[in-house]
Amino acid sequence: MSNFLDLDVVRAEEAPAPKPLRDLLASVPASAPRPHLSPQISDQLATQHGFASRDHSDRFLGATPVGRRHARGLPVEETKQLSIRMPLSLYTEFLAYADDRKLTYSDAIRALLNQRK
Amino acid sequence: MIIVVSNPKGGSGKSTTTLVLATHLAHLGATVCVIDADPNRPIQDWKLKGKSTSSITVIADVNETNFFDVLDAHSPHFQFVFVDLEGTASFLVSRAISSANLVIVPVQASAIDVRQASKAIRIVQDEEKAVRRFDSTRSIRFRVLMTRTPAPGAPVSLSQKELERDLDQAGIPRFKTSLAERQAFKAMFNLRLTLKELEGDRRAGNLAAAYENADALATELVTLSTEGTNR
Repeated sequence: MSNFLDLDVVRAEEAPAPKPLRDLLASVPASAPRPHLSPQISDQLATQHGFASRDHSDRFLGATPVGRRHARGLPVEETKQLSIRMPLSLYTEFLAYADDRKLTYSDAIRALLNQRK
Repeated sequence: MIIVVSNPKGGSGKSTTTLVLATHLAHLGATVCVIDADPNRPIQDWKLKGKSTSSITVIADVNETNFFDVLDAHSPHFQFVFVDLEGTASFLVSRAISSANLVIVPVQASAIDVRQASKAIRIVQDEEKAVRRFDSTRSIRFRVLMTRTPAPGAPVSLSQKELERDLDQAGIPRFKTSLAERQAFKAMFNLRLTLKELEGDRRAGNLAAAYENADALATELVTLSTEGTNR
């Protein structure tokens, strides 16, 4: 028989049963957009920590390093992709026209359009 | 809640953490969006090329310039917006962190992972100071998440014990639950399915244990999100 029979039984407080995740989810509201930190401030902080821009679309908008040729495709204005189907003979003739004059295809189209003026 | 998953070190378990949590929450009825900001697009690949019927929405066309616009456009439609970041130290990472309610920093028990994780934590702390200048009540919480840990009951490496001790001594908050190295988590990517959808597939290994792990981690995350100190 226990020597502690005359003591009040000490019952450990039972922790409340954790709510199932599905119930918890019901109380989560939709995300609310928050005012943003200015990108300049964020980027400045990031630079101090050794972070750098990896956005290539922005990188090519900067100045071209001295002594280096302009990167091909330097976007002087917005660009669009043109993909067209044409007879093989026309295709061959167009490529020969561009190659003979050492023109990019877009420059070759520009040259042909200029001839029309 | 905007949850950013970040560690400049690649292979720390960012995408696995994102996919496990996002699909588990969605399975339980939450509205979940994943912004896949990793150039390799692992979550987009999972969604587009797989046959999963998970309700998660995946958005992949984000860059430094349009990140805030994409976030603003989508966040009001979802309870949880996860941002799975690239394993680099880029401006996109810092911008995403500045907009987060919670930053999860997945870490494996390796010195390289920890050093890179410290980088992520320092920038979270600085971004928080910066956002508090215009909103003193705002906070960006973060939690370190131990990833690829041994399954419960398996021996724990000395390096993991040391890491846990260092984190505790430094007062760095971490999830009590870790994400164990499980065949099922790998199978999610390989077979492009959710844990639930892997039922009956032997390639998933101990699926029940993986599900339990995902549920414990998600519960900790949701409890954290309902504590309500963040704005």
